[in-house]
Amino acid sequence: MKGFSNRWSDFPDYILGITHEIWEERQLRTLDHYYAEDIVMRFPSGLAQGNAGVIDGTMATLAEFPDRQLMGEDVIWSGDEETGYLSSHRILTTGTHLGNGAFGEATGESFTIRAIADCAAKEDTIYDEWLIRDVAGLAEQLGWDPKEYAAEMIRREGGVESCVRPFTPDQDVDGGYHGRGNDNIWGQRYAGILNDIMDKRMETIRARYDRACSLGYPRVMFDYGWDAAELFWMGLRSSFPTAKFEIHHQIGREDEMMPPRSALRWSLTGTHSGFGTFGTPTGAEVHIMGMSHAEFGPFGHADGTIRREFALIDEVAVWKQILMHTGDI
Amino acid sequence: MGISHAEFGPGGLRREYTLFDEIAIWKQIVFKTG
Repeated sequence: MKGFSNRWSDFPDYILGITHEIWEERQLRTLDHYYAEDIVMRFPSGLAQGNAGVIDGTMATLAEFPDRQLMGEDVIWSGDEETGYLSSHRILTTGTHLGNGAFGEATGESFTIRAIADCAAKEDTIYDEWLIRDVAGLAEQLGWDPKEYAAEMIRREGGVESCVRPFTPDQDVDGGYHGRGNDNIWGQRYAGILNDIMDKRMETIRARYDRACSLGYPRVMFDYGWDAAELFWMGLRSSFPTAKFEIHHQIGREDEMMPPRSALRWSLTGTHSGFGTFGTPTGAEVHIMGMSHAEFGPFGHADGTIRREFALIDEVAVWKQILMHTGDI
Repeated sequence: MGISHAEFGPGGLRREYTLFDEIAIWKQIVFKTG
């Protein structure tokens, strides 16, 4: 890989390797090199810029969860040396709430959640990033109701007027990565399936998901089957039935020793106008950043069916936008 | 009696599903202990 250290055998090795160095070997200052000085990071909870903040944020997280582990479940990637590489890195992360921090005084509770990080890299450096953590799952496992945790964040940040704004497209800054992924068939198929679901063609789940599929969603680490897939996708769509669904980045891959698979980054933008996962409709305008990974298998459909799916949104960032609209904190 | 399924990936064994009948094992233990 041109411009990358010859320590890395390939791009996934680079992504898994630097994650291990930064987090598990505690080499926070390698971020001076691995993260661009003016990196743009989009979290559903807000926009952040610059690697200095990343170092501080990493330290704060380790102070709160000193035994935090980050296990790389998958790296689904696209790009090349010219356009830049884009890695969609799914992480299974565990830890114990042993220090005081963003989740309040140490509770001693432990957690297991997933996160997906989409990172653009060139010449050994990450320069553009989108990151979703299952904050609702984390909050719940530490004893918070996710909606109440969103309200607590608003109160702590000084109320509806002065609290940190969750990420919306108008805040976006050009970080330099303009790729849209690749044109591999498995990315096209997964995008087609999600477009059909968001188009309210709900028979799609029974037609295009394996009946015994394994699933991971916000707050739900391990689930299976059509009902669980419907609960997540219909519950989300039903809360925002008129919102605009867009796919921003689409990767498909067929790799040695791995099933055909896909990584998508998408968003849902519009009004909280229906009953669903987010309760009674409030009329709040929301922007929901979503990422999902799917693995395909041969059973049940000529074009293959989804055998495993891991989809993430930050439900706390959604609740925050709803509560900022209602003022009910 | 045990049966296992495993899936391998580039980083090693990636998923494993193993079953044995724990009740049948307890039954053999309880037969002996009474």
